[in-house]
Amino acid sequence: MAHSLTRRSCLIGVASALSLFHTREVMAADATLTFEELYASFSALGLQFSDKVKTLEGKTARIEGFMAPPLKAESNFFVLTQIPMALCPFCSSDADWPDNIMVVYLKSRQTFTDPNELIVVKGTLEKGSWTDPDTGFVSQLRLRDATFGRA
Amino acid sequence: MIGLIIADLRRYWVGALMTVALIAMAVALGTAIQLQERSLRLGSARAAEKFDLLIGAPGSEAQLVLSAVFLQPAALPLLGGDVLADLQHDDRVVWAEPIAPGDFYKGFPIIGTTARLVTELAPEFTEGVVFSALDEAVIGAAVDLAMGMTFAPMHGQVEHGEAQHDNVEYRIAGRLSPTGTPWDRAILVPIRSSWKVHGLVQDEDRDSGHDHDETHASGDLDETFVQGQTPDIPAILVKPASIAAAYKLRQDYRANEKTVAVFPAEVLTSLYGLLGDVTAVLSYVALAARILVGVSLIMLAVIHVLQRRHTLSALRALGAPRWSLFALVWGQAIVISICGVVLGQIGGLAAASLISSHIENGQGFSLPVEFASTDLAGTIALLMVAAVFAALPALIAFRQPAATGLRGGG
Amino acid sequence: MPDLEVTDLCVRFAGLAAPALDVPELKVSAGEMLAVVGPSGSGKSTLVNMLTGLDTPARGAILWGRTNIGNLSEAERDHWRGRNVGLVPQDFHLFPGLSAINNVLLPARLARIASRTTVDRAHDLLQAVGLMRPNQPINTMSRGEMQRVAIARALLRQPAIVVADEPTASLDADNGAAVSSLLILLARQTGSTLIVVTHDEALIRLMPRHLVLRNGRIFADRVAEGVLA
Repeated sequence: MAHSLTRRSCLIGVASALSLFHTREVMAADATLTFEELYASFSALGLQFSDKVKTLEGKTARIEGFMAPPLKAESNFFVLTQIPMALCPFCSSDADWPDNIMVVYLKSRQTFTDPNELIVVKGTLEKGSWTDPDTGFVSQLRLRDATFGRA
Repeated sequence: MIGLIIADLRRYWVGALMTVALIAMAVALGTAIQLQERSLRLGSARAAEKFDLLIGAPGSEAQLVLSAVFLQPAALPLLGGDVLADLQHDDRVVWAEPIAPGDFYKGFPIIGTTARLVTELAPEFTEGVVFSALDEAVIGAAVDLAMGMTFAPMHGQVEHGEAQHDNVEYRIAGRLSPTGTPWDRAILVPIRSSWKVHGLVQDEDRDSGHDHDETHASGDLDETFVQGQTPDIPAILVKPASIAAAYKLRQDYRANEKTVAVFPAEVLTSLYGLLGDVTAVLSYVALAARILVGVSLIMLAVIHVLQRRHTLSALRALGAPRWSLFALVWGQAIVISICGVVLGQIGGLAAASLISSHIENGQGFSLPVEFASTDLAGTIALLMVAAVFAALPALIAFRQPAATGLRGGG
Repeated sequence: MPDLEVTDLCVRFAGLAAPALDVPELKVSAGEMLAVVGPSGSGKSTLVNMLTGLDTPARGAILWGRTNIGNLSEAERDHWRGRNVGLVPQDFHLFPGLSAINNVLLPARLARIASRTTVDRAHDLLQAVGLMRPNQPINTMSRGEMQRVAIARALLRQPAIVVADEPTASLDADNGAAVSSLLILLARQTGSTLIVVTHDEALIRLMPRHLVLRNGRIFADRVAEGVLA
């Protein structure tokens, strides 16, 4: 995406360059989250969301991470992980929801390019179990209406 | 003003038309490349939509995806049948079903699989039902065979002169609704019958009677796959229960030396990276063409305005304000640009549609040629650039001294 | 209607030692009819360009009424000319794609002053110059008809000054005579000052005052006998 953005910006020039610039401007003003700040504690009950996540729920947040290899070539979501996928974030624990991932729902369906780059994602933070009606996949922590670009 | 612009353009209609054509061609080239890339990308993405996780024997991941999703003929290494039995009992799996490409009939690939997979991939039937016996087949929407007819598969493609398997015949029991995927061109048969055809399973008939013509591929459709009794399979399609399950399964079956697991989406995504690079190169070529055409048209416009400077100055001498002459020349350039750009977009769309339908006929999956909302921004940006550069000849018209208009000598 | 008063006018062109125009004094009363004559290169066009504000002199004053157009900026001169001068250019400068009426209205439309009254006046003027088909395309007209359209266009805004540059040069004798009398008649109707640059003896004979230029200077300025002013 970051690639195709630069490509396209060469083609359509001013317009997309301006919009990219605009996105960055907005991002700088929003609350920044890190993967370390997502959960308060590990208890027998499972993961507890941190106060920061609770305060930011419903608000715009930005977070840096890696796009996991996409499950669908064209989709409106991807999995954002703290570490590159080669290390398999899901494999560190038996839990269905590891503490170092997030599901990113984009404004519209799209295809992706290089998953191995560090990206920065901005979107509305949403927590709690939710089942995607299209895919049947369950997620605990999401960014909605998200946009992303090269970090 | 508009009336004058149009009247003036009509007066120079040959030149105006050629200019429009030139702009249209330069625009169409870039548009066609962009649309074609998107078409290939979205078409392949949508064809792979229902293929979450593929498991095969170690080898080329790309080949596994091409064969199992896009049904490209290639011999896949085989995977132990026990893997299928394991997966079907795995809690992280909603369903796991085999895909066994190999034979052909009249150029249509025959895929051995299960009734479950057929109904998962293509839930709708236009006619008939899914196969319920080993000698029944289901055909994709684009397979032009008649319902109820019987056929014997060929090993390999007919063009290559491969032999007919004369020990099996299928009867077409159902036709699927179109899915827009390569599977529309496929003939789907029970995998147990494929195993029999290729001698991968001990056929009771073969053991006892040796009379295939009488009892070809008959028998019950047994779709439970038991550990230790399941023959080798080229590929298994898995529907994971959750996102986590998908990534864990992928990890587990990649860690296993005897298997490889891949999301078709990740293979496609890396192909899109490549496709994107190719498109970028082509786009730069198209951009260069646009710049070349743009520069030469600006020069032509300047020459044209200079040739008409007497008329323009005369208009000014007669009482037309300078800005109106600017507007006249600028308006003409913009009218020509808009016509050229719009025609170019249509031309690009037509070219991409033509190429896509050609590929569709060959590959069987639909390639959607469509504009995206970002294209509008691109088009507007292009017109804005045109408007800015069209101001150059307009400025020359603006700066023409009024006195030059009336006469040369005297 | 303004009188014209030119004093100490001097125009020089780059690279030429002698001035292109050197007019110490010239007065034309409002409503007067003046033929500017002289050989090619005598400064006729330069004089017309100065008098209509198409160009500015190196030195001198060109007073139309109280306005010294030599002191005006380019935009101000354009504006002044639009309101005060009706030009009949030598080559007509009509737009072939437009009808007669649209050609008459073109400068007014470009200046965004074409009101209902202006359109009515354009129709009247076309009738006055003898053109009964206002929607006839220019490219189907004879040269004589085209010159009539150009005259109608020049008179549309009821200018105080009408300037015609060789209005009969490209016409045959009959058409030339007709166009000449039309020009004089219409200018007289509006009380406009009429300045005609011409070689046409027939037209010169119709004009009451003759200004003869030679080498950029006034060689003769005479009132013709027997011509009714």
